[in-house]
Amino acid sequence: MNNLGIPGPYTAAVVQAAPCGFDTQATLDRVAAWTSSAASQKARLVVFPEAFVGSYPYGIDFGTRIGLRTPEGREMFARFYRAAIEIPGPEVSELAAIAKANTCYLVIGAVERAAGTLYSSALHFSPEGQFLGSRRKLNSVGVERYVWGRGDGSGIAVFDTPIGNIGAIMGCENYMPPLRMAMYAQSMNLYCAPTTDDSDVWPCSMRTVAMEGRSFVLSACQVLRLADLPENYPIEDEAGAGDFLIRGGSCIVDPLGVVLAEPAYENECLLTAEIDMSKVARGKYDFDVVGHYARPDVFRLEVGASQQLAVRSVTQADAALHIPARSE
Amino acid sequence: MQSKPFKASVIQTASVAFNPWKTIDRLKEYTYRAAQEGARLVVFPEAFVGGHAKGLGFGSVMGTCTQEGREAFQMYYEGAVDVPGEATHRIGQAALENNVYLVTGAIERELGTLFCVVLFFAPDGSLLGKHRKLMPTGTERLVWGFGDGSTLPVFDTPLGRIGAVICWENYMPMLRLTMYSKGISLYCVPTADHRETWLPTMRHIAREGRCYVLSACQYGRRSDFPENYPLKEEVAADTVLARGGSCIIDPMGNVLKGPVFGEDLIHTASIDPGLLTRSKFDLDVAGNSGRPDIFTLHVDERPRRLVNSITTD
Repeated sequence: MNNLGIPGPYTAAVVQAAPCGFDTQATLDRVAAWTSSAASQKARLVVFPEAFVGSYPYGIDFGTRIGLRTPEGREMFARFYRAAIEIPGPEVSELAAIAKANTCYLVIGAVERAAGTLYSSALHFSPEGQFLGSRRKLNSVGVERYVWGRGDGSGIAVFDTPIGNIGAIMGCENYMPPLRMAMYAQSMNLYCAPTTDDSDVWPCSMRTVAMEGRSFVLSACQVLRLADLPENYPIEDEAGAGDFLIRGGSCIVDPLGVVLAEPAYENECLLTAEIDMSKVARGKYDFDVVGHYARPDVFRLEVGASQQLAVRSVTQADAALHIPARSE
Repeated sequence: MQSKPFKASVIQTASVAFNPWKTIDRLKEYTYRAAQEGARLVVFPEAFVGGHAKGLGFGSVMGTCTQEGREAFQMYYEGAVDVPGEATHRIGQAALENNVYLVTGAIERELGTLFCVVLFFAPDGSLLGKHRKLMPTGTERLVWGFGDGSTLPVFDTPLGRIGAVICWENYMPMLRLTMYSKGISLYCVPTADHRETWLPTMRHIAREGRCYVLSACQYGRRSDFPENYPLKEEVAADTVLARGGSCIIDPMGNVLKGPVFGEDLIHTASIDPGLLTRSKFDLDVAGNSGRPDIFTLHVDERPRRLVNSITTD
């Protein structure tokens, strides 16, 4: 690290892999193996795809039609529910231990279970084995809306670390300009994008948001084959066991939109790149989306960062004393 | 909005730098050619009328500037146009004669300041309005003023909702969101960015906004600029200063036309209004994907006037 607090160049890694569908413990074992493999290449930051722990139920419709839900769809949801993790919980502790064992920052997508609702969340861990925090996806696309709730503005956080300012934006959230803006305003320069979007346009978006934020972008997409899913998985797809349902397309991009690690398709792999943080300042020279290029006299974005609680308990004494309601 | 497909064109050619009248003659020629290809909307590059002073440093270094720099500014100023004025009348004639909506970049002169603007014309020849660039980049900041929030129009036309975002304004997420919230469907991008990174940006924006993106960039060589053009280092006449890369993208981010570098050309593509709706099915950034319970963007579209004169009547 130099005297401005900018770290020297280091390696970061993106894991493009398949979880073990609906088998959370087996998936955590895969996380440990991939993280160890990244650490052996000296990675100080390791990014995993969206919904890696808990699974992404690709290709199924949960038995939903307008006006009706089937018992099979309910059973599928219950199965998905069982595979999800609580935060905090034993799986979170295990992920923290993996980060510590490999001395790396770890960003990973998981399906979070909170009471009766599931969320697609991104979890952040430090090399000391500390759980830094998590963020729930604000908006989902398509059938995701049947099974995932929506996060609120309270979790829009960037984690200030010695290797850079780490934030995560998941899947279709990357198409929410105000969310990106809220993250840029927190000086995010390690923009992690856990996703399951394997479209051709995705790397274009990653290059664009890198340039827009003058940030490194580390996009991790799942690969998924039928073979990674349980035998009785009710997908209506004629794919063979080895065919790819999600084909990858992870990439690492620098703050000027230069692709450091090219998207790879249809294979499980580890992408690595050198992160040279001095590139951030060189990028801000001619563009700073929340600074000299912002026009705050014209555009002013307000972000409601309060927790949205369905139930708040207010005691009489609190009310009489005008003490703010407790959130827990 | 009409539901039948129609054609739109982007023009990739050079302006006659600092000579708006010769440039407008060229604009008429290319508009005619695009109309012959069936285009009902024609988009020209950034600063087309007036010129994009590519490669000039305007003799400026921190703390001082040279006499030659001032003279270069004078040359630029004298080649700029008044809005409205004779130039906008003539461009309107090109739209009228060819029965097209016409969108072009221009350099507008107001008092002592130049603005990079986009001008919008209807097939009846009328000037619909303008957008002044909000934020110039780099050396542009020496020679162009900053637009205010009062020129962010999106025009509801029989072809769709036409608006324009210039060059690196396309990296301003809040400006884009403003355009999306106005229902822009024909997102016109007069630009001077001919980098390899431009195409991915256009594809991202099309997919984000679920709109057609029509990006027009000049293809220009040294010989398209005046002989006394004060480049710091003189180059051969056929040296390419602006290499093009114009493109047309559909609302799913698919490339319909372009980019082609190093050629003078017109790209024409078919625009299917039905695809706008089909693409909104799973993403509507300013609508069902917006989360207004968390985010509120305030846009101040009031004109800013430095001097407000108050008279007795």
